[in-house]
Amino acid sequence: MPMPDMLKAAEELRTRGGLDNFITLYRVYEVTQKVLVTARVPAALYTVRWSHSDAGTSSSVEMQLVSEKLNDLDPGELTILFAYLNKAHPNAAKALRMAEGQAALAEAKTGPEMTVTAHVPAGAGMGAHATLPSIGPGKWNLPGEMDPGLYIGIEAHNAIALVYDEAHPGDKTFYNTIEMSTILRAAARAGQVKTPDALTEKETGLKPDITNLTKHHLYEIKPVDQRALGRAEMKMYLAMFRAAGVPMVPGPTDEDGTMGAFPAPDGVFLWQSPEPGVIIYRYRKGSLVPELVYDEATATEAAGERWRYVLKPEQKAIAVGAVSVGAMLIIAILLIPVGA
Amino acid sequence: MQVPRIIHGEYRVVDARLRGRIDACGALVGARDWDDPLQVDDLIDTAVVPGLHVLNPPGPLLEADLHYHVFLPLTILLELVDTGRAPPEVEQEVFDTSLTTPWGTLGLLAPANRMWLFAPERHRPFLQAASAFWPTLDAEGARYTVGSATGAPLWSIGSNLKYVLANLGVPAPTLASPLPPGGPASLLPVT
Repeated sequence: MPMPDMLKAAEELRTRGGLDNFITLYRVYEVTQKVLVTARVPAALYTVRWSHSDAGTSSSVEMQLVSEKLNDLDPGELTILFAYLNKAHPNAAKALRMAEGQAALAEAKTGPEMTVTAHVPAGAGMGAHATLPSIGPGKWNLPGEMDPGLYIGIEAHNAIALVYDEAHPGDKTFYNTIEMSTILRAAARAGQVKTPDALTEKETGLKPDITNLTKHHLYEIKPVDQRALGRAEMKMYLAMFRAAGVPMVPGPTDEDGTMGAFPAPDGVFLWQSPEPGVIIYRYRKGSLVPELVYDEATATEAAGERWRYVLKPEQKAIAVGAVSVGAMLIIAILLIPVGA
Repeated sequence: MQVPRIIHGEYRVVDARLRGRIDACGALVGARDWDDPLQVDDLIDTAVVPGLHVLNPPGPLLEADLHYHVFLPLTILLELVDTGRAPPEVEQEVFDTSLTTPWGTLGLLAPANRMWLFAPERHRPFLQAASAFWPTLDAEGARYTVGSATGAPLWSIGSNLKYVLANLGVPAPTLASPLPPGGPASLLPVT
């Protein structure tokens, strides 16, 4: 059945008051029978449910479940679902962002506690009382009675975009709230669009998280539990850009600005790119305070003007940051779950 | 800083008001026609009226409160040019006119309007204006935002000033460091 027809059927089911029960039954069936239902069916069902719900009613568990399903969808069908969601629910983007932030807040409570260990090489010149700068917390500045999940979700996107932009100040970049229509006009001005009318009006209203038209790199940002959804959305945008003739590719995992730590409201955001085109983040209350450990290894770097945080590859969970302090030290920082 | 009153308010209201004025004012032929919808003679003082300077299309954090949507006029104008509803010549005229006021230059500083600065021949004139108005713009303090609910100093956020400086040869680490007392132009490599 084509996706538009499936959406119609799900709408009809909702009108008759049976959508929630059907979703419950489907999940029971999938779990008890150990039969994986094709991703298209639940994706259509959840899309219709979201399109009629208040922002943020989906639980993080549900979002994670659905994001796994969406990941298996054809990018063309995913585009249909997102366009439908945006049309049916003017606040759809807000609802999705709120669900993201709520997932991040939930993970902050249940996820591993994070700590930072800074390994100071011997001969680096660090005195016993020297300290590394900590990161966060930022100001809690919740507008009005806004849902904290929405607040955290948006501020995470802002922080990551800000750090990425700082690493690529001379590039033609667009972030978070810029619509595809604007980005495609920019690409046209840069001589990159071959078929500007390839997208529908609904599609041009969608907003990718990080678009770098200079490097042709694309990223989607999600909380750690929604990584699969990030991958699915990235593929969707990739298909849209390619349809318009813009040769975008998933951004590499080692690109500057795709890994870091930054002050968050009342805490800190930590992020990395675990796969091309996807950036995942965590939120933690408090601040990251590096714990110094003196290494016996010999320092290999000459004096300079900045701290540099270097993460050991196997930890890969965090932080490349830079703070001017007047002396260059190479410091390896491990971000590890406490007790791990 | 003095800015046109029309750009201050709730985002949806400001957007509708601007577009309505543009429609009502008829065909855009030159930069002077752009002054009418913006009502450039009706200014308000940002020291008196609170609000952040919004430099990107706002998300939910900034939609409901009253802010200065400084990016919006130039975003709309480019949209009109790109969709054939305004002649291409207007773009350069409005660009030149924008460089004569702090608020016009601030509109060009907004990342949402990066397209305005794709053309390298616009970089030097833009930098000259941004440097000249820098004391005024910087004096606004932590009131700039590209999406956050919390304002920040202009130099600390990504703006088209850094885009232009980077394209004129200033290294990224320099742009991430505090701005020296000489202002933006002092960062340019000596040639």
